[in-house]
Amino acid sequence: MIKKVLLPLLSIAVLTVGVVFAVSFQHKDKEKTQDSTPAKQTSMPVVESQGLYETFDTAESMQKEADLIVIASPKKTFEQRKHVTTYLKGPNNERYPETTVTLTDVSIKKVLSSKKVSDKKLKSVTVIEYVGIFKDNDGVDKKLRFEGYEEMSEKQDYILYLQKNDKGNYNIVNIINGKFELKSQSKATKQSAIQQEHEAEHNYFNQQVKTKFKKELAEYTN
Amino acid sequence: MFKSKIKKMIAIGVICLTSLSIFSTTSYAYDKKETERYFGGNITTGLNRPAWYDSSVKSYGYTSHFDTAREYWNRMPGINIWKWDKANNSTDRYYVGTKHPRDTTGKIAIYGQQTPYKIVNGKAVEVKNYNEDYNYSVVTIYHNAISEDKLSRSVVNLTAAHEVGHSLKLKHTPRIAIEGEKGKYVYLEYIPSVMRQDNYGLYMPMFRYDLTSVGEKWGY
Repeated sequence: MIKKVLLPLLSIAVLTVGVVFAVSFQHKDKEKTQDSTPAKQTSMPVVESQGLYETFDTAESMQKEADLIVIASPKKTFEQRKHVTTYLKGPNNERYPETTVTLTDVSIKKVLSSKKVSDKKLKSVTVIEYVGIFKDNDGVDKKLRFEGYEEMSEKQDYILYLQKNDKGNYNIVNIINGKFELKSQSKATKQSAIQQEHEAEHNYFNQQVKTKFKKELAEYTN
Repeated sequence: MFKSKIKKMIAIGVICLTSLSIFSTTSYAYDKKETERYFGGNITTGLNRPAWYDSSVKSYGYTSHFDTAREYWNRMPGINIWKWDKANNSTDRYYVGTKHPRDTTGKIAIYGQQTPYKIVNGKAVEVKNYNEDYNYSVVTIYHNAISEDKLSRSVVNLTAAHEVGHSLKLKHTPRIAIEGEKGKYVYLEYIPSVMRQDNYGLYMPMFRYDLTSVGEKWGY
């Protein structure tokens, strides 16, 4: 009785547990490899860089730095915008991208805050985006994102914390954490490793900014 | 006879289950550390590696900053980044960025950047994901932004050490966003480290966080 019933049952139980663990580990591995998928699938390969820049800890400190806080949307598609790239010369005659940014003209839908009263009437400005296009050593166009920064889509509205520079263009204060989708979209594709690194802090800023301007945003978010 | 066999089977089952659960816990802890402190993958050409300085480093006066950055990380046993006047597929490249097209863009507020490369069919190619293996890094610190913002000597040292830290696969220190009641994020907190994403200044000898992170990453 014991040999016929209990032993097979015990074997099945151990096997089942083993299979469950094996499946769960496989699933974990799958999640890891998906990290390598760029956040946006376009025909242009996407590569990333990381680095040091001026950061701010709160929405309040960002606002102190910003000349302008707006709701805005790009006028053109990413490919149609002005891409600015310079190169470094490598020791073996190769080259590397040095500065890779995009100048994006945006239409302002609402000025949420401005240091100058006259800026409240601004209808458009040029924003420096920390993503650009460069040619690699084989002449292939590639998109380079700094710190996982994704370009603004012309189909969406954004809240932007902007600081005017000496040429009249606007830097995004806090870079990745100074640009917020007005209506947060659920990400269709997996984020890159760097984007995952910034996700929690971006949510933190997003929440602060949307709470701060809740009244002003009501007509756009309802 | 049968009873002793059953006991044996049960004992083996218990051992198997215990081993599996220990293995799974260890794996989870490793993933968590990796997620927070450093990227996955290897530097295929190892940690005893040369760094080539572009002429811009000397001409703009940044040699000592990069030397200090190497010295900072070389304090970790097992890491030895040494200066070399040649470059091959295992040599990091250090630059001072000076070609910033100010006339077109105006000021750009980035102090430093690191981009990893791997060798594919004999050619250097940018990696798509920081968890991939790579051969070398291009490390750039930007003279325009540094001089315009009048960064102190200590902060320039930090900038160079920060980018070299990235070349060793370290992430930025987590700017901890803690979820409070009702899912609200309540504060951000920084950890003393050269991998902080702000102008903290360099501390010699090494910050504890940097020491443990690079040690955990590379198994020292």
